[in-house]
Amino acid sequence: MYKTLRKIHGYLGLALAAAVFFYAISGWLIYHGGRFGEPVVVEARVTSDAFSAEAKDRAAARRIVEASADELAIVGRFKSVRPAAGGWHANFKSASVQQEVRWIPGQGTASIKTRTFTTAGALAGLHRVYGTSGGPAHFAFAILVDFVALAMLGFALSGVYLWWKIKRKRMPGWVTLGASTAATVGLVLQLILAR
Amino acid sequence: MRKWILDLHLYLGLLCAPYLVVYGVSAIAFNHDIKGGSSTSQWSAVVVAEGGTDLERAEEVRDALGLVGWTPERSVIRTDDALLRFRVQNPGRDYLIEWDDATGSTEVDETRSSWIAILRGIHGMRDLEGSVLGPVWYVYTEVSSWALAFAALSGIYLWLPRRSAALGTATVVAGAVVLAVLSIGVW
Repeated sequence: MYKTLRKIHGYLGLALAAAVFFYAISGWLIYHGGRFGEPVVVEARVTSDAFSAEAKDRAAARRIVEASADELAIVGRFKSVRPAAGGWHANFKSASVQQEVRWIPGQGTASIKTRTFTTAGALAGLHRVYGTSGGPAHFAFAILVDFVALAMLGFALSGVYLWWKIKRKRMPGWVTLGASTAATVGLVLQLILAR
Repeated sequence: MRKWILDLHLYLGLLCAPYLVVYGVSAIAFNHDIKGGSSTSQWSAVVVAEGGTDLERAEEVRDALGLVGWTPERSVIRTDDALLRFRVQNPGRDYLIEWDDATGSTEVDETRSSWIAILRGIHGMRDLEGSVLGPVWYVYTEVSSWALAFAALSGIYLWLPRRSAALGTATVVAGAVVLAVLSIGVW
């Protein structure tokens, strides 16, 4: 049991070392948000008959903007669309780029604002890429996210077991584990039970 | 040196084990858009507050009611001369409060989130007003981020001198390549 778990902990840790390191550092960057530098903003206008059509609801508006994705040079995946200023605003996002498309039906044109983030900003964006929608690349990335998340649970549980087996003096470990568990459980319980 | 790093790997691992559980569960919840249900209730109280601005009064009412959470400034609205409406929010609750200046009468609409929404909410939470555990969580998150980065690097260091170093190196490189390829796909 001990040897098997040690091997699993070790090899899984090696396989996911880069991912764990990435999530730790990018998470820290997000935690201290605002240090990413300003994104480069480019605005353009695109003419297309598609933007002349009326959209009766959000689904129809989404179809219109997605049908023109190539002309608009959309690089991210669809995030949202909402009615605004007598027309529609649609948002697309990838790790490094955020795009907003605005159009008013009947005018036959759309404006697109593209924000390209700095490398640090893109790393923070990559930390926030989740969800299985958006095509094969996003689906594959979502599987990685699940795998890393499950591995986190596995590292925590197997790590406690391995410490228990390795260390004869367990008091320092109990104090460390007890303090961190008390803080975490205390916070969650306060949020669940407080009025 | 090796023993020292192994001890640090072990104890920092124990320190951030609950953090890993919270972050592991909440990451799956984010990835699959799992929020859990919510429930609502109404209750009332009488509270006296004498702060200067409407925001200060709202925070005074919040504290007098013993609520934990933030009062977003944009949520503080005076609906008429005597009635102040504002929200108090934390990962587990959303309170919509109407407080009467003149009488102190306070009506509260409370929406309770699920435990999974709470775990999502504390994933990266910086502070929690009105709770001593808010600053503790801030420090814990900060320490755990660095502990996790250290665990990844020290894990490689601890494994490499073994007989299976070649297999270990190949595993690290393969994991990094997979991460790089998938990241380029969503970049």
